[in-house]
Amino acid sequence: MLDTKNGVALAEEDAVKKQSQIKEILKRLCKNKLAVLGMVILLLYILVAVFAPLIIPYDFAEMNILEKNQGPSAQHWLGTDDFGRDIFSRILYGTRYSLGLGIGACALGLAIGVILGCIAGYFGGWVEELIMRFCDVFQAIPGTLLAIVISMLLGTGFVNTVIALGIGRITLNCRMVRAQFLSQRKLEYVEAAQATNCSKVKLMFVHILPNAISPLIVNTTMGIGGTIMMAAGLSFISLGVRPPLPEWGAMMSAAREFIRYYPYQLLFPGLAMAFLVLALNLFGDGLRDALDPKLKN
Amino acid sequence: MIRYVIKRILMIIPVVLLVAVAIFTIMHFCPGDPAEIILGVGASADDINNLRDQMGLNDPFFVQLGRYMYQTFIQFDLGESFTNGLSIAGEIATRFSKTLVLALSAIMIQVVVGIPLGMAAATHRGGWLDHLCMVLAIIGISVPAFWIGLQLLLLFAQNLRWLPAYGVDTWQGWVLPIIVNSLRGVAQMARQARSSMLEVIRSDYISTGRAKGLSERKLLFGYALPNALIPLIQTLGMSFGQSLGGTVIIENVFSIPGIGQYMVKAIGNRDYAVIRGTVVILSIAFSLCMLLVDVAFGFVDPRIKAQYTGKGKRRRVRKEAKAHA
Repeated sequence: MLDTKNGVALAEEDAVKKQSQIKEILKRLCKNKLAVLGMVILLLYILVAVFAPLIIPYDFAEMNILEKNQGPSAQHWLGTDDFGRDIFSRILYGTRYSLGLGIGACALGLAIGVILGCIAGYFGGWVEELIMRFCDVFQAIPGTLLAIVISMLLGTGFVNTVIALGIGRITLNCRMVRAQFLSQRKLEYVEAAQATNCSKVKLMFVHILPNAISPLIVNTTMGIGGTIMMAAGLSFISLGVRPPLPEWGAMMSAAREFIRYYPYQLLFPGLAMAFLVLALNLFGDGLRDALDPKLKN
Repeated sequence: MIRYVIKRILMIIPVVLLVAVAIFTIMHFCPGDPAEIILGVGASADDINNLRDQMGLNDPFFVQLGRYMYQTFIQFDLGESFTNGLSIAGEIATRFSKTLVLALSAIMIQVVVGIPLGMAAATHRGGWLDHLCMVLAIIGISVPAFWIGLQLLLLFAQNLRWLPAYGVDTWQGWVLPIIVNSLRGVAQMARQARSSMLEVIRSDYISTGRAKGLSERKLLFGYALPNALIPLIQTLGMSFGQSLGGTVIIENVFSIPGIGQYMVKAIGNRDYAVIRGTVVILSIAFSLCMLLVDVAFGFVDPRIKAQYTGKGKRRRVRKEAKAHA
């Protein structure tokens, strides 16, 4: 009886603590003007991605040969491409692809990386050795090259590109989680949990992992930006997502042929991408400072 | 120290071998039959089968893998290109210098520009110099390299006509590719240098030095700088890998006949042997660079060396963890 009461009280206290910590972090984040700016831009991009079909003025795939290669005008704000498609609409709709690629690949890398890192860090021994040597091998291949090779294996297309980009991030997250586990696994609370017959899975993911989460959050936020750029690079060398899909990298790679005559076709998708990555970096920077106040002062 | 260096060298060998195995395996399962790619679409099934026999493609996977490893690491032969039958190792040898110039110059610019920029930002924290540096740095990591490359080409080659639009026959041709390839690294390095320097400046021994009346100049260059540089070596190694990967795209933007261009052409032709060869060579180059970084680490930071001498790294780490607990 007393125990449950205590438990409830503790849980409540815990909830208050948790809430206040998040509040604290948010407060610190909001003090950083650049981070807020990044967050606002990022939210805008997400809104555009979600509501793209509703807000684009023209169909992103609609060709109109009569109006091809027009410069920016009142009708076509950012001009038209060589098939007469409205570039503004394509960029807005392309947010879905580029943001989706970045988030998808990072989420994939995070999910698998965290699981592998938890296993390696918790169990140690030959399991750890095996997983870490596996990471060594894949880290010895520069990221862009690994993405290129896997993209060759899987072929082009959205899902395949997500996988190709995500695999490179697995080793990164795995290493980070394992390093955090190494410092945690001998602490008292882990021993206490083991003593109360807590299952290994619960111990790993519910008790230890939250202590390792903040570098992961920051790294993934920053990683989305880098992944989006790498995706564009893949499209640029005719892998990744291909035209006619309005992914920004694909648009840029198509526009490259006409760069001498219609430079705006290359300029606008690049700017759209630069602002998104900038927002992600600003937000990630702010998040890092907010999560780890020691670094700031 | 020698023991440490030898240990690191021995550790790199299995990694390099396994990288080759991994890349061979991935490329082995890529869709498309090499024999069919060589003979073209119109070839008869018999011809294709004969060529497959000749190339050993009908052998079991492990036999092929063994043969590949033997050729690559014992005979130093990377095979022949599917499309023109030329030796891949020879082609890479003639192209390697261009890629290396691109990657190494990027590293050099990072050191010469990025580190002082970050240091200046740290010592003038909160001032306009700090803000300027950080704005430049964050823009530097936010724009795609090939995009900025093409924009610069447009400006300097087409509009202003100061620099050639393609090729590296003259030194002018190198200007834009090197700048573009180093941009991201410089930005990263400046950020890293700033935060690393900030951390050191705030440490107690600097305050002690200041209290004892050392000049700011001596404090900065004699005491703070050497310690702030240590984490930057790691960044430098990682960004060498990045700029090696980056050259693949940069060489294509600026039509530089390096390994990256060779590779992208091979991607277009589905020339798997070439892709395999180039990726393996670039990965080995990267691994060797990381080896250098680790050895350099050992020289500048005695803590790292201590992990390797004695009873080996892993046991040490565990012991330390236990001691903490």
